[in-house]
Amino acid sequence: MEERDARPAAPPYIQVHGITKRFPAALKGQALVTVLDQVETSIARGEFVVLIGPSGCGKSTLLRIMNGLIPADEGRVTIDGATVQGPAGDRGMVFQSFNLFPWRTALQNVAFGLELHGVGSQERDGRARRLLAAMGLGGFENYYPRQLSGGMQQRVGLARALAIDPEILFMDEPFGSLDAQTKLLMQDELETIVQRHKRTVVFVTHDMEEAVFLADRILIMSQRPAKIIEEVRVDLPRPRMDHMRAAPEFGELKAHIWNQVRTAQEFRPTIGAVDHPTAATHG
Amino acid sequence: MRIPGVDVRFAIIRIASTAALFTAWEWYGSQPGQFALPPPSKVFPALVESIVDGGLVQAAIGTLWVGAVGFSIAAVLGVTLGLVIANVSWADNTLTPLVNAAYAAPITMLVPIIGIYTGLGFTGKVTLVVLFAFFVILINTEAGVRQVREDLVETARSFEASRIQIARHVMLPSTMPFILNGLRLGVGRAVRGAIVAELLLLVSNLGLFLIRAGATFNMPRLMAGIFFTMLMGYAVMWFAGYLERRSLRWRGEATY
Repeated sequence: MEERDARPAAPPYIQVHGITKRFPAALKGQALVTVLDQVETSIARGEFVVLIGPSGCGKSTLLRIMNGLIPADEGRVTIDGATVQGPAGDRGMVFQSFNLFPWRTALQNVAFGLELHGVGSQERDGRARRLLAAMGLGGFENYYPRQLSGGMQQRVGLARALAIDPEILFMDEPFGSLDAQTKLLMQDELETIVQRHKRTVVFVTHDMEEAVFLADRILIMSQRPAKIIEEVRVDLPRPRMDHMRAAPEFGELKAHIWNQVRTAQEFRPTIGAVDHPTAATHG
Repeated sequence: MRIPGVDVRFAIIRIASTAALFTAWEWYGSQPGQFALPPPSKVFPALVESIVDGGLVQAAIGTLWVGAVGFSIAAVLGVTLGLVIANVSWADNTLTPLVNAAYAAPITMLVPIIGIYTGLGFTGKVTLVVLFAFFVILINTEAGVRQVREDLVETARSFEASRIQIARHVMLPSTMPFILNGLRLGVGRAVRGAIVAELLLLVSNLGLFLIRAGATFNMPRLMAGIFFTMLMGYAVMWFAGYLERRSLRWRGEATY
């Protein structure tokens, strides 16, 4: 059911061409470890794409290459036709461990990107204040990160990324270190935000439920050296509601993804072929 | 600084232990034949007298001035060089062995060289203070830069921060606790350096006060001088610590 192909192709917004990345081995004298192997994919404007795969497969690395934080060894990423050469002000990033600046208050953290880009203090404070209020953090403007719970910190992290009004939001397991309930709440909130602002989102996770709940399309990656072995469209209606988690379709998708991820984890690609028979094409 | 009443238990312990110390000192100092260590009942009148006749206060101001000038130079040099060493590998390779050697060595042994090189005046004293305070500031600054969290640098980069912006918005604030700690330790060492300079390089100010009292066997006056010097050091360190805590409020009370 997942192999729906070639619907009238939206013009590719983000294109990933033959991305290969190698890292030095943990021990000296060993060969380089190939993390990403000729990864190809493309993402349409306004699409919510989730990267999922076995842990350590290079999902986060791919995300960072797409954002321009680290260079690829081979291949290139283009956004709107332009090759990515480094991070840009119209792309926001949300991190797994929040990465708030501990010496900045919630408000100052949210205003960080605006401050770098020379936005005046009145305007950036106003914007940061509105974003914090929208995240349910009104009244916490002057709190330091250490005074906030994990969920609140990640709301600040999300607000910080949204403050620069990015075209694309890169999210690296943003809810991975939150407790189960907070995680569900944050997923709901993210859905609301995405519905309201309509951004392109690239989201890394290893949580199948999260993937199905949030994604328009899920890219399943193999074990290292990773490729995208399958893409799964999620045709659940938007906005996604909490009750959909109980829908049979939801469960089937989840089970299917788990199956694929597990298979990817078991068939170590260093031994066998990486290409999965059901691997879908892109574009 | 604690609000009185919040930590009554500690205040009581502190007062009690100080009282016990002074009582013991009084007892020991009043033993017949005890000359080198006069009791507080003789030291404190001598202290009051030295303060009232103005000699001690003036001497202390002179010493603190030497310390302050030297410390300021050491702070600028130490922080700057610490930042350079932590960021530039060739500077690290060439300077770190020298810094370590100098840090571990007693600066006092340089007194004869400084005396010959800069003469015995103000410059010489300040030079010695700089050498006393400089290394601890440098080493702390360098350690601070080395512990900057790479993930926060990456975060700044994701916002398209330039190298200078990263230095200003990530490196500097993360290094600040270390720099301030180095400066606080440096202040103490600067005071020490100033007194050493005035004892060994050019006898003056507090050094003169102490040496004169010692040379005339005026032991209460000597002890008063020593006591006053220590009190001054305590006040300077407390003030430095207060400034440090104030500027690091984001880290919270638990850190201290």
